[in-house]
Amino acid sequence: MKSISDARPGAPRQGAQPVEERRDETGAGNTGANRRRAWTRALRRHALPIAAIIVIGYLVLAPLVRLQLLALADGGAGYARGFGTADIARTITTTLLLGLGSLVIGLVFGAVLAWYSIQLPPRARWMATLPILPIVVPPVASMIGWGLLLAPNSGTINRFIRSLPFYSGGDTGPIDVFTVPWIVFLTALGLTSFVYVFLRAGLLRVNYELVEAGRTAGDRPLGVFFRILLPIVRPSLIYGGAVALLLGLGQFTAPLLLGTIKNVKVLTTEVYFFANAGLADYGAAAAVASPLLLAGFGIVALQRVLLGEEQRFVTDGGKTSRYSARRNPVAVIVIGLFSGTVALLPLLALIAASLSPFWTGQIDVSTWSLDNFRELWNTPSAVSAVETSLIASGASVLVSLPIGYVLADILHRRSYDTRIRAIIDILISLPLGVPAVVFGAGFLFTYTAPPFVLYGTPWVLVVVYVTLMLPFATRMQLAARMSLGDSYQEAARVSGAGPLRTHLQVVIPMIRGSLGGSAALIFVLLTHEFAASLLVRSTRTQVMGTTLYDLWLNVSYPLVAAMGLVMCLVTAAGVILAVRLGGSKALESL
Amino acid sequence: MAVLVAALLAACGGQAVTPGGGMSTAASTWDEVLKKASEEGTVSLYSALLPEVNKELEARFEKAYPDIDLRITRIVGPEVSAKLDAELKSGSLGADIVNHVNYEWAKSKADEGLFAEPIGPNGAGPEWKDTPYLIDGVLQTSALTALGIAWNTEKVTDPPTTYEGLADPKFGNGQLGLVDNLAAPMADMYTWLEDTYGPGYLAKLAELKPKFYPSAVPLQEALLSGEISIALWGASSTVKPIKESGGPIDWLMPDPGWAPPNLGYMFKESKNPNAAQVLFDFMASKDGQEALAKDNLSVLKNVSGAVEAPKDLTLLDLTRATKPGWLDSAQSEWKQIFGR
Repeated sequence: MKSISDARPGAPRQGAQPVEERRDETGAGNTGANRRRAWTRALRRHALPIAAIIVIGYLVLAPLVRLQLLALADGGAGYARGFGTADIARTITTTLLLGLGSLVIGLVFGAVLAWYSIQLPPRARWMATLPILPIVVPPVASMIGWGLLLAPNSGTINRFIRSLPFYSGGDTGPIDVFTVPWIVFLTALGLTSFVYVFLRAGLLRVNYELVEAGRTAGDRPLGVFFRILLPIVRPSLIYGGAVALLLGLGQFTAPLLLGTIKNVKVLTTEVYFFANAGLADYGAAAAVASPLLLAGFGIVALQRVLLGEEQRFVTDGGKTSRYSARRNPVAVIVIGLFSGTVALLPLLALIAASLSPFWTGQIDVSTWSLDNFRELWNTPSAVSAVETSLIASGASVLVSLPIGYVLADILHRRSYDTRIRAIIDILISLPLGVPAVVFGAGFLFTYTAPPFVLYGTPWVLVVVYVTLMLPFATRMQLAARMSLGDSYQEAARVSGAGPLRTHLQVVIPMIRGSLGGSAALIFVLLTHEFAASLLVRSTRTQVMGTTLYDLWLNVSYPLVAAMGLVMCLVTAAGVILAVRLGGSKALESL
Repeated sequence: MAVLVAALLAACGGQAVTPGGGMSTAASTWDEVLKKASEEGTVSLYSALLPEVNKELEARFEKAYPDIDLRITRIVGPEVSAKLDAELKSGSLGADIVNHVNYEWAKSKADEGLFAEPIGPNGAGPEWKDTPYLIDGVLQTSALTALGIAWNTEKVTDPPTTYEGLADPKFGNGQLGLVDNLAAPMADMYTWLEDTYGPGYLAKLAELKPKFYPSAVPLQEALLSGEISIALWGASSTVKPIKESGGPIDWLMPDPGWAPPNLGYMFKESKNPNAAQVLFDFMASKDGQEALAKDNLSVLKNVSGAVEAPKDLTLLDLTRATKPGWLDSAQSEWKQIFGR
């Protein structure tokens, strides 16, 4: 290795133009040839970001553009059919309720959990990972579990409430999970974990000396919370809120599994039914998806405007200023209660159902056996679905992480043109604003025709998955790069390491925790993926989420429950592996 | 990068369309077909039939033809048409035979000449050829699903024996389960109910505020759990095994009754055209019908294990079901009645 003394003094930062060239562009002698040379240099310097724009642009925009062209064909006939259903106004209203409910409930619950999580006593600090546990339970499985618990007549919790001596409400209810309020509430609960992750990350980066200063100056705890803490964590609040709103608007699982029984419809289920009708109507599906796309793009844009320059929210005062929030034993109760209810209850319902020969809503331990698991093991399609899920999700993680790393690097480097970075940032964020079921319809339509015919192969799954995970793969690594700063990289470069060596031997090891956390989150999300997979899967390519849905449609609840538990185990194993590889910081970095 | 990799892999792994499958039907005898079928060794069926029926069919077929491996993929619901379209478009057709209820799609593809005619002794025999049960010479009425009234025996002790009896206020407040009108069979049944019991019948059902389920099995699960007490669209072949293992559920075939056919059709461009002919023929034979019609209804007479047909049995009206635009307008009317 070269020594520091070998480095050229005043060596320009990578990507910066030499001073003489800059003077040339602005000085009186600015010729056409100089301008062309400057353009060529700029293009060469931006080769990687431009290539990224082309590839990411095709991945994200091609399916959406093709769908829109279909919707607009024949003078907008797709729009006429899509919005011609009698109850479309009610469908749109329910969709809005789903989005706004997810935003409000997700933010409130997520904020409370995040706030308490930083107040956990030292011995209970491990409980900070508990609110993330609901993510490990597949949404399809947890919604089926909630159905078993809260169905108005047969739900186990309803039966229990009705058996209480002071209850006098008749022989149905009191909870009806097939109605809009409960579907909104359960969807929001499922998204709370995401909001929690973002808010907790934001709170952890706060310099608590500022909080203590407020207290010392005489402000009351609530005043400190609203006047000092909340404004500082605004970026996390905005980002977490945007994610909750976007994911809520695009939610599909709860409305499909719980809503169709009593005619609760949202735009995403309409997309699904149009795309899967007797004669598939992609034009109408695309038309009905348009309001979701517009809302999604709008929220992504608004979020960028509200966040503005993220640097002004950095208050990091070094390690000693972190984790200094006051300890509060109530935190243990709050976090334990939430995690126990949201993650554990549906799991218990699934366990009880999976061990029963048939589900009558009542628990009879004498009939319990492992027969359903044995039957699953002997069902070739179920076993191959687990294999396909593992391969497709694993391959997608291996592809997404490097892509996310490169994109995070491009976004992090201020030497690249701001407009190009902005375009990449928007393209990366778009998949969050597009419901997965819409991407599924778009990918189905795009990849069954040239230039890339992937339908029928597992690779169409990998391409969909990588596209869906772009925001997560990039954002988490970008956050880690921002926390890391540039000093380590600069030290390596100044010491003579080339760019590749710097990345491989310095940057990547230092953000290992974040990489592990990203891998864990992406693996979890992909093994659960259902909405897009439902559309792009072929008859012979099945993944666990779609197999679970098929079992729910065509076979018994107990078998569905058994498959759901298998999915939880597979996911948990993947998360443990990712955390092991990423080190103890992996889950924190989530 | 992902797209380039995927494109390369698609180029390597993509499946080419094999036109015609190399079958010369004019010159072959049935023995030659059987011999070639054994050499092909496998046949793929996409089936909408209930799982127990598929299992029975596979067991009997592989016993009769041990050299041919029957692979059944169960697909229910209208999405099968979208999947088949995608497979045909991308040259990755995975089925040799499909058995389904996507009537509009099947009829339109039959008109386009996509399906092969049967040449076997059963499939092209006098009980099928030139009868209403082999439509256009290519669409076989392979099975008739025995659908009727199912109920939870702990909640209902005196079930009605006709569909008319379901429109009873005692089944109100979400006690009645109905199938959602998602495809042609459901649309046809609801239309038949209205034709049989008068224009106000469906409105009476709607007043009971029923719960809707996408197919027979979720309906049955809701019955078992006691979420609903009684259901239209109960399937005999799935109720019977649960009843036999002690589940609180029972079933009856009302009179007048209605049954939808499952249509079987062979693709000309299938990968195993001879094995497909053998399977198609088996499905038309007594042995095959005993598998397909176990706890169901058969178009053949005196099939052992089949449900006794009611005196007044109406089959799904295929001419009406496949008329362009009929399904859309029938579903719209139904949605208005039920407020969906």
